[in-house]
Amino acid sequence: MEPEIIVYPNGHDSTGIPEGSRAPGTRIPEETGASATPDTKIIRESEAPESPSEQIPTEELYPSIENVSADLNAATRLLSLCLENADQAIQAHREQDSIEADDALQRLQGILPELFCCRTLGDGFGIIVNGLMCAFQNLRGAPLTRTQTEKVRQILVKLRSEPFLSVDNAVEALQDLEQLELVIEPPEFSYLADMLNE
Amino acid sequence: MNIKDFQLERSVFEFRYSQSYLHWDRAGVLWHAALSKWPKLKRTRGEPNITSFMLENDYEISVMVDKTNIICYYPKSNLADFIEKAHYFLGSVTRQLEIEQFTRVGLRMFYFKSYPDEQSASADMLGAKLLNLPDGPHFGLDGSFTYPELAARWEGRAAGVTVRLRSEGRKIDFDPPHGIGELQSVHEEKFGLVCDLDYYTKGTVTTGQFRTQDWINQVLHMIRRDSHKFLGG
Repeated sequence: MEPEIIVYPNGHDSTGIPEGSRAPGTRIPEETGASATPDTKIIRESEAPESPSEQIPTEELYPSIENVSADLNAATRLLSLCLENADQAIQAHREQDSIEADDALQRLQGILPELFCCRTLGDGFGIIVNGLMCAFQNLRGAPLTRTQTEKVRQILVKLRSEPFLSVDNAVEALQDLEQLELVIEPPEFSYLADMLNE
Repeated sequence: MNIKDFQLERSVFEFRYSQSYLHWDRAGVLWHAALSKWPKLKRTRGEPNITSFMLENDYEISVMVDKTNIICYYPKSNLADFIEKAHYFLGSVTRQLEIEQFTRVGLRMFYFKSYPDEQSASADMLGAKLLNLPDGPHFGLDGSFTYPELAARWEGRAAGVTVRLRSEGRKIDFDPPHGIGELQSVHEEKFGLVCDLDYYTKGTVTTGQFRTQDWINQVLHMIRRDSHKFLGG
């Protein structure tokens, strides 16, 4: 088997060095060319097969959150608050404290309209927040079950992880809510459907 | 030395993805849409694995089966126009090549500071005390230290940055073809320091996580805030 050597051009893998990136006439000190043996197959790191790597958490992708746009900053803050309340509701469900669970979910519901104001992040974001708002409204005050609360939390985690998610991914996420008998269309839709049927 | 004393010469935004051979099918659609937005785009390469266009000598945009580069020469310091184009191409390439995640996203900035001669450029670079050099003679030579170059890299769990600083001489020798009186000969030599900053992500980033303007603005802020630590300003 041929030995393989991975070399790191320019010291290491770099962002888009265009060909001829040095200005014409640039004086470059001559380097001693240390070549590999004829049988050696050299693979530049940029040509090496990409190994699957872990997904970067969104908060690490934007570590300096105060320097991102206002909508992303607000959405991150509000989603954290929503998740805090969802966690409290799940904890209360575990302790069979239905009133505390409902209180926490009401607090979560209260944050959703403000979160909807961040829909400039993308259509996917708007669809999910709108779907959650409708799901709460269509319950007409009835509390969410533990399973439903866990699913709501799961969707909020996804939204915090991927605030710019596509419409297709957003619809897919909301379908999970529908499977748990939550109605994600606006309550007015039922009247409209009745009118159209008449 | 301070980064504010340097002129931003070039910025490069690059995003990489797993090999997407849809480039073979959809490059035309991609560039047709871009041409309707920027009619002055001029094709420079059109091959199965790479298509690239220039825009008014300011931009060089290349789409490849595994990465896309947007290079801007002499961008404005706030990068507003560069960000707009980077945002457009990231969206367009992602849609046309059906990319769901990026394997690497990088922003590279080349800054240049002019000096009257090579010696003063090198002296300023060495003055930052980034290198601890022994007194001469060096390897039996008593010569001066010319065109110094140094690079350092820091990597965290999610991102990394490489800083390269080098002294550089640039020489332009241009003589117009005989019989063309409108053009003048150009013979120029200039010296300076190049500060090359490369900020990049490690690990995958899904398309749902990434918005170009937020990421670039944040990186730009960090470069302005922290580069003095390296430059000694």
